[in-house]
Amino acid sequence: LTPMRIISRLDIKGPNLVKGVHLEGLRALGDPTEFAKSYFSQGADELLYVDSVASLYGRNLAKDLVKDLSSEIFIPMSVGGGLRNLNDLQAVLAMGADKVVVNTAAIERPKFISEIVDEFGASTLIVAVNGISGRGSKYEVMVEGGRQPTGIDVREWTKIIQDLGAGEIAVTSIDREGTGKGFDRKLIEAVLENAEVPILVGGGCGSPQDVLEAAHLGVDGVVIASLLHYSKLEKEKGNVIRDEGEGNFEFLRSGRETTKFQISSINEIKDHLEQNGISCRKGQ
Amino acid sequence: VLDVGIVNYGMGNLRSIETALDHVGFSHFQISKAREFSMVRRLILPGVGGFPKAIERLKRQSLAKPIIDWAHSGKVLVGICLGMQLLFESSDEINQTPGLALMKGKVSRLCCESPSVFGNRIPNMGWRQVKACSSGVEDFTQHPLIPTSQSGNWMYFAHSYGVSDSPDGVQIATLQHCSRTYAAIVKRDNVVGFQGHPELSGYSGLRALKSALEI
Repeated sequence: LTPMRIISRLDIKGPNLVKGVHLEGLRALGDPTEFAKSYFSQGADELLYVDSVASLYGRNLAKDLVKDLSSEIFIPMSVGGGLRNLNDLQAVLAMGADKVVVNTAAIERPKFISEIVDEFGASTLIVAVNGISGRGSKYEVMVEGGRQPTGIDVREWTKIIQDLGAGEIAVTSIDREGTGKGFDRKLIEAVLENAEVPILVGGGCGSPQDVLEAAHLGVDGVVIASLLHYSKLEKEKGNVIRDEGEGNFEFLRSGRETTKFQISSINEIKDHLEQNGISCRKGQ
Repeated sequence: VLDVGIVNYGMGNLRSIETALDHVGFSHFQISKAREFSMVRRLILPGVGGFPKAIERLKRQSLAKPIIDWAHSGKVLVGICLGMQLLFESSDEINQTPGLALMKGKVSRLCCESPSVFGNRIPNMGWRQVKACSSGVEDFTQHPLIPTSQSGNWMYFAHSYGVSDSPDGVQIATLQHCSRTYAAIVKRDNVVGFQGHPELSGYSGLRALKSALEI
């Protein structure tokens, strides 16, 4: 059986790793390079960077950040957030990204997907789909960081993405994002119905058991952010906050514990998968 | 003279390969012209994207013939992903296109009767275990080109095409996709090919890449 991938998602804003709920209310959590290195050594299969305010491009600080990250980490790295044209993609790939993630620009002009595939190859492109539950069993596609509704049905859109040749589809549940309440099963099932390309799912992961359940549904990978971030912070409690610069550090200063997540490292998640018959890569 | 030249023909990200080479201690240089071949000891042919376009770009930059000559001269050549596929005779991607023909075999679309079944999806993306070849006289179980960690021979793959007919003796390890077997790691004398990405396959991948360069 195909091994399950654990993809660690890092949302970046300026110099900080940030995390919100439903993609909003961002808290600063610390230095992203430190988190990324930790996830690499814990056995992450891939890293996914999302520039939450698309500030990545043209800013030397962020360029250096991606460069720093790629020099110590020998697993695939995908970068997304505000990528609008082939030049943006070229710049991100030259900085050290192995794959690019597009969302809003693809919705605005679906042909962009086939242009990317022609230029960089299918396996270089992940199309991100943010879905929110609507009437009945329908899910609606949201853009602009999950804030803007489109009226487009998730099931139909993922079919189009696939037909246009994208290599992978990463679906995030806005309803569950940052909540730790588990993946949105119905959303995943809707996307998997006609899937002929790898499907990655995110939004809501709160425990190793959630990952196992997603694996049983037949996804190729899970995208996890909060669970891994808060687990890392919890396990390293007492460490000083390094960056007191820009960003909302209230959460870190408060020392408040998070109760929505079952504290687990990537290794522990993979142990749980293996014990339940799901194959995954372990060790370096 | 530098340790490794990375062929830059506009097909894919070279930076991950450069950082991998930095880590294993090889000096490197991006090569885009044939006359620069004399500046390096070994060549890496990377590549992500389509086969016909890759061959066209190699020819446009007058690199195809010099790469073939390089391999025939006995110097180390390592192909990665599409770069590995280019080493073979031809590909049926879009149109039938001749390759560099340094290895016997043809590149064809990964085949699947039931593509929507989990595990059969294309592109074949993610971490897979490769299987060492051991046929008759030759046993490659302990071969240094195979990335090995405590939990198996894991490698990261990202491809929609593969080589299913490369001859015994050349195949060091294979990969399963949808009940078919494809070449994962190949070697013919001084020419090595990885269908997966050793530079993105953790520390065991880096060891395999180093072994390929020191073959």
